[in-house]
Amino acid sequence: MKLSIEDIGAISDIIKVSLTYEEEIKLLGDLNRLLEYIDEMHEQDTEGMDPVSNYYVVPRIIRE
Amino acid sequence: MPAAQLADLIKRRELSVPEAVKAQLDAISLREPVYKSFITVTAEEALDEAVKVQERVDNGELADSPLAGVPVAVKDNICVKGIRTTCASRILEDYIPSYDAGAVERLKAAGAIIIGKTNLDEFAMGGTTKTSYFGTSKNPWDPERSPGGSSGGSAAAVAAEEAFAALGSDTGGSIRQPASYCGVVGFKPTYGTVSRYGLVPFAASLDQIGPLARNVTDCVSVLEVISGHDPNDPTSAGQERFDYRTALTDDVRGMRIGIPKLYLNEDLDNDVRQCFMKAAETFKSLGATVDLMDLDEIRYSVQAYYVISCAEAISNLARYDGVRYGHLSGDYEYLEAIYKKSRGEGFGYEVKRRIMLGAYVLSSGNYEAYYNKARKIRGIISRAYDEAFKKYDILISPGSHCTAPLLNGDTSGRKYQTAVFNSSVNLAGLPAVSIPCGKDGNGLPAGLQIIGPRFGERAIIRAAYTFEKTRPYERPKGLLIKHNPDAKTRAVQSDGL
Repeated sequence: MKLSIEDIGAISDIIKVSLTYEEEIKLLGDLNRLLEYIDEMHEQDTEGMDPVSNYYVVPRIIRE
Repeated sequence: MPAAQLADLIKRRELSVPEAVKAQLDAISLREPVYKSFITVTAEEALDEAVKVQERVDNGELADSPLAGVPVAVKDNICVKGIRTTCASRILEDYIPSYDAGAVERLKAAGAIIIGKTNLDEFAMGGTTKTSYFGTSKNPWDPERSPGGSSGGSAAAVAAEEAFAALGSDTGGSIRQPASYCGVVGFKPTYGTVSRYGLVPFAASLDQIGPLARNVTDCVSVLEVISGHDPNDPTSAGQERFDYRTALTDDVRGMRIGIPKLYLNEDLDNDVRQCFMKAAETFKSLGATVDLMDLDEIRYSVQAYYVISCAEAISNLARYDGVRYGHLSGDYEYLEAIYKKSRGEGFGYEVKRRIMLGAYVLSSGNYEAYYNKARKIRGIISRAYDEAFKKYDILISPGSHCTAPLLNGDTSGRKYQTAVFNSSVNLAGLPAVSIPCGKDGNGLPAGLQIIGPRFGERAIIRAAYTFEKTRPYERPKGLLIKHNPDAKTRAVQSDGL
């Protein structure tokens, strides 16, 4: 399990959202399952590649 | 009746705009108690607007508009001036925007009448519309089933004939999947085509507004009206106007169509797979070439989508702090508690889940491994699609994994309501449409998705329009119909298309 119940509390402080006890428990399970699924993407080789936010370059619009 | 036909009747003065709007509102009051597609029905405003639009029809101003006097619904995460815009969340329950979204301005300029704000998953996060603070909408094909999400209300309103067209928004399939579930046409345009000004942002690099309608022609008319450069949206593409209606041609001979094998490896329902394979055969019989192809690079689209969309979401939802607007908790003793309690009370569980994930992947120590990794994968996916479109004009896939699931059932074992073929399209910023292509054993509609290269809407439109000719629109069986003796009202309420 990646996240502990303390981690849940710490993250909810960062995002400034109060959670009920039931929500914390549910999130603990849900987020750990989600992270397990997301971890699969580490199998993709991305050596030497740059991160891309918007692949197609949109020219920056500047005020005149 | 198609929207194009209604607009024609109105422009030829055979039907007045107030009559059309009144008939539409009658249909809504009949069907809304069952399908609950709307959060807000703007009856008074629509009737007032109808009078003004009628004047514009009378003085010839709307002679060229394909949407003159046509009632259109707008998803409730798109701002309409003076009308409550809630994003289906408690935190924006009473928020009233002081401006129209860019897309809404264009609809109004074309003489369309905003008939109401439709239901959605809270902040567009979800695939069933069940996360709405205002209750879930029902699928007009079977009210025990979900209309999909997050634009579930828009899809339901169009399928239930409570509006002639609707605006939805698509971040990871949110227009295309509900369009599949409800048997209507849903179009997500190329990123940058339609202004995001006034669309409450979920993931700014993935969101796009798009139309839903009962046929390809109406969908394309709405798309043409709402698209084009908007100086208020810095991510809006430079082109002033897009010409889509001239792409409505009935000919796919020689079109090169690809089917990525990875799409077929998804956990698809058997009936959905059958409908899809039949659709591929139909294209072959119409003169196109259809090939299976490799596109392995998109394998981790859903994972990358979750990381990127949740990371962007925490930034976009940071503004809801109970101070500037929105729900303010009564229970606080110090400043931070205002934020925490207001947001804690205002956001639903799914929203919390997503922004918690977003915070995790952006935290130092995880930023490189998750957020940057996902963005590198995004680059891989975009390049892979670019390569694919050198060899193929369009790619096709099923519109969704399955047909509309039961509201009270489990999600048939599928944890993630977006598929590789939905989310990868948003990651690469490509256009895609979902059109009805058949029915499953329970009589529920299945959708076909057609994906095009960037700004390749015309190829998609040509393929969709041609395919539609082989399968004209079918209205949901069991849709509530009241036989109205008034011929004009009956015409608007679509007594048979």
